[in-house]
Amino acid sequence: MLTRDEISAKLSEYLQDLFEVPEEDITPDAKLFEDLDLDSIDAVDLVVKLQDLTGKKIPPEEFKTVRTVDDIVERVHQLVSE
Amino acid sequence: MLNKLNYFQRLIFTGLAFATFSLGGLMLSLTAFPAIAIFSKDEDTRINRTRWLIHRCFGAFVFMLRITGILNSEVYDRERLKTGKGRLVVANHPTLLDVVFLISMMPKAQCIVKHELWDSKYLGGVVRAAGYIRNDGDPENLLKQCQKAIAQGHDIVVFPEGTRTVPGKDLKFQRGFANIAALVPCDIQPVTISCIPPSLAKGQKWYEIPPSKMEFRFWVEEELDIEKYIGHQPRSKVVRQITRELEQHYSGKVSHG
Repeated sequence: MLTRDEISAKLSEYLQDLFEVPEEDITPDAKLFEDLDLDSIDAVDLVVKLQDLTGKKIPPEEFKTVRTVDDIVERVHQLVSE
Repeated sequence: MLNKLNYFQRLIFTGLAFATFSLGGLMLSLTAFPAIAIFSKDEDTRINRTRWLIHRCFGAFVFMLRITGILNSEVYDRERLKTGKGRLVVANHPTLLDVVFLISMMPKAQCIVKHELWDSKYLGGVVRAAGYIRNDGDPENLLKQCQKAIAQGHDIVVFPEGTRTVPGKDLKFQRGFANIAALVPCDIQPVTISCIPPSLAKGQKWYEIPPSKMEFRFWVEEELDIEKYIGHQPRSKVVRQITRELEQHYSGKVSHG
């Protein structure tokens, strides 16, 4: 099972590789849309990536309330520990 | 003296032009568009005829602006816009008239339009009848509408800045247009627009006319082949690359006049 740190590391990797986010901008409370310059289509791609990583289906409504990097880590962690 | 006379002539005709545009939009919505709807056998025919009529009316409007001495305009490689090929026509956005000029050169033009216009008294009927695309809808629906237009060989006009350029500020492109180009997928036809002296910009009133006649220039440039960008990169990177390249391209052009 994935630990919080592993999820966090993977997420950081995706943000850098796919969305060209500079590493130093990726902090737990960085906001995805405002601070990291993601858009709604990027968010869809990110969810797909996280589904591949966890092997679990992530319902879109699960991600409606997600705002920050830490929110994602928290959500994904919850999902894999269920 | 002559200068003053010319100024007042342009001021009066500019006022008349604004009134003609709004009232013309309203008149079309009340007369010609419903008539087209009655005589068109299906929705696609109705939309095609409506867009063609808007194209001709905008052409007549531009002609009026020229003969009344409000502006001059020059278009380089205009024939590149003539045939709808199912592309994204992307342009910088210095003035209120940009879209009017572009559509006057495009018989089959689809447009992504700011949503406020749907509630406009005068132009709401026009954007609804033409089946233009709202910029505030859900992204999936927007994409579907773009795919439909492209499949029918209509070119889609979009201004990547999202709003008119604020004079003196750096150009900032949003990524929406590149997402459309990458996801449909479709080629990009860039057009560069310049207006000297700067006029009809964001936040300017109709009566704030420039000291001399406006000179519009349109450069219809080389088409960008989307396949060259897509290759093996993920969509998110393709989109960022296109946005960055075009933003730089336009920043260079616009700052050099």
